[in-house]
Amino acid sequence: MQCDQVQSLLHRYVDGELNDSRAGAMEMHLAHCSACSLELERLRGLIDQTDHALSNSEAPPGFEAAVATALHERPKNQSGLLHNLRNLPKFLSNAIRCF
Amino acid sequence: MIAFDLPFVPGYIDSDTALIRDCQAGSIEAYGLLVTRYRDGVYNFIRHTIGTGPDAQDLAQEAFVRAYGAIGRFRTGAPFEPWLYTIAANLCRSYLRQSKSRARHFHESDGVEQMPASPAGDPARMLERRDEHLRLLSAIHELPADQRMVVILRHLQNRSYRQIAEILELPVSTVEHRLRAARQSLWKTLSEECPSGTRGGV
Repeated sequence: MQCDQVQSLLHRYVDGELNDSRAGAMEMHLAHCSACSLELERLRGLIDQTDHALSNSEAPPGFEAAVATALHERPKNQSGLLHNLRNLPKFLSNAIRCF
Repeated sequence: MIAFDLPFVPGYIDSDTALIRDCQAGSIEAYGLLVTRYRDGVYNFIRHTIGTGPDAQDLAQEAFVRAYGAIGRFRTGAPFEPWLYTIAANLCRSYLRQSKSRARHFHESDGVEQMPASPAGDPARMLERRDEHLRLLSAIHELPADQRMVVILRHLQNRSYRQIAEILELPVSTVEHRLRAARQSLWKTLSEECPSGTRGGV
């Protein structure tokens, strides 16, 4: 592999999107090319920072109840299954127990 | 956790397919379990796509309402999660088109709790990392929405290119292109703020 080919595949490589054969060829090149290795290091640094920048949080309390209420209030022609809403209390109680 | 009025069958609780089959047969409580299972992921995807605020919660709830409305036509055995996320992504696109805004509700506090640990006893470095972290978060929220969704699905939810392509209904090559473009934008933002000039490109 040449440098331009390696650098065009760097994103797929760090994202685990290359098959073993191509990843192996990349690694052989990277082992001997400081310029491509530096690019790889920079990309990994950015990916690590981006992973940390995006936080996960829990959905707001009462999320399921709000969904259930919206299902209840939605006109029947917008939901083919809304005849099931006689079971709405079970939906809510299950959601609460799961929360 | 088996505390529902659902039949006990080994693997039942873990099977979306079984829950959907029950939904289609008329069990709304089965749908409640699906909501509980996917609420946080869908909420976070939407929250980072349109910005934190009450609209993110409303849109996430709307995604579940729409999915329920269409679940009668859902193909048996198909994966539920990407289908649900496709609904959520389409709602985000529609919302952003209508509001003509891109993540206007970004707050610094959104990302502070996820800041990487700083070397102890080095307040200058700690401040530098905090600034860099917040600049990056702001830059993510300033990306075009089509790139931002790819970044969120890849970096927040660790999805493969193929999974992202399925959710966003794009070719895999387009996912790769958007991810690369987004990372180049983020890198540029960080590099512009880096006085040492040591950053290269990605």
